[in-house]
Amino acid sequence: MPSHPRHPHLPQGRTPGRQSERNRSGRRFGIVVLGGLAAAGFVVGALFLAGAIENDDPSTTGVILLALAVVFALLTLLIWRMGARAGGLGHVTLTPAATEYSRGERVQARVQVRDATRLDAETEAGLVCMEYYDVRVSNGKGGSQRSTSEAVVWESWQPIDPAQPVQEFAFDLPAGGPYSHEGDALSLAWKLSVREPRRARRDPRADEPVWVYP
Amino acid sequence: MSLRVTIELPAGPFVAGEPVRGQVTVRGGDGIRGLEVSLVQVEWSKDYEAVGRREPPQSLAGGPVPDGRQLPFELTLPLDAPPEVQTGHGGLAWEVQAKADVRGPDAIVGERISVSPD
Repeated sequence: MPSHPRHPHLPQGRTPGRQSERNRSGRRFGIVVLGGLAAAGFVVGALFLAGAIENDDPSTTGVILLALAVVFALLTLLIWRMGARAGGLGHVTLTPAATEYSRGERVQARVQVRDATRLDAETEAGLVCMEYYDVRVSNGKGGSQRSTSEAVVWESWQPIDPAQPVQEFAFDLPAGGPYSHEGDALSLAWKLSVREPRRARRDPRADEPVWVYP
Repeated sequence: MSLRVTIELPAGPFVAGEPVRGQVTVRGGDGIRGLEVSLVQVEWSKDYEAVGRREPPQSLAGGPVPDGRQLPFELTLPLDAPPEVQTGHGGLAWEVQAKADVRGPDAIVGERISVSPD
């Protein structure tokens, strides 16, 4: 079952909490503003460059404007990618056996490797619980604003065998561990995940959310 | 005398569906217009706290409360009350909350209880 269309950390059909709703609208607003500025910069730079070429004046100004236009185009692409759902493991399919569990139960999933030649040797499948917690951070004007940070609460990983095109994985949920929660100051989210570990970079990964009852 | 509300509870832990009995003691309660207790599920992070769920309150007084009066109460944890959870940056827990309706901001005090799985 796919994840929630607007909240990838939730299974489809789950109601997001106030914290999730707050962050979604804030992130969307930021992406729209930054994306708009970047796109406007690109258009202005391109117009100036076109004008310079038309006037037969491909001088230093035109080269600078071209460079600026390219920078703005890259910035726009970067911002668009920030807004897109994290993923990046198109050669692997992760399918949970179910999307709802209780603490202490066994979570099962199937991993299908569609292109073994693209599979990193260190690729692994895991069950992870994330916490999203609100903190007060400086707004740069002497005041503060609310922000949400995230951290891993619990995780378990198993290696994926590149020679096996289809593999079954099982993870035992801790009986006394955290359960799924959508809140205002704190949210807890469980997910099945496949990742290719990277040093000093964000791991390419495919996530599938599951809901864990108390 | 300024208003002081305290909650006394037996040691837990409690389980879902179990009654929670205790008493509220009031000092300086001349200005109280109403006093109630309820069970609430609270969540917190390092900098913020919020009420995630509030059970129906029990009214203990509808007007001024004599100084030192002890008011017993009995609340019942809901059958689906999730147990407490503590993470590295926050947690979820239940507490008995007493709210005194007074002129100006209400006086609210809470006392955490431990709720364990069945």
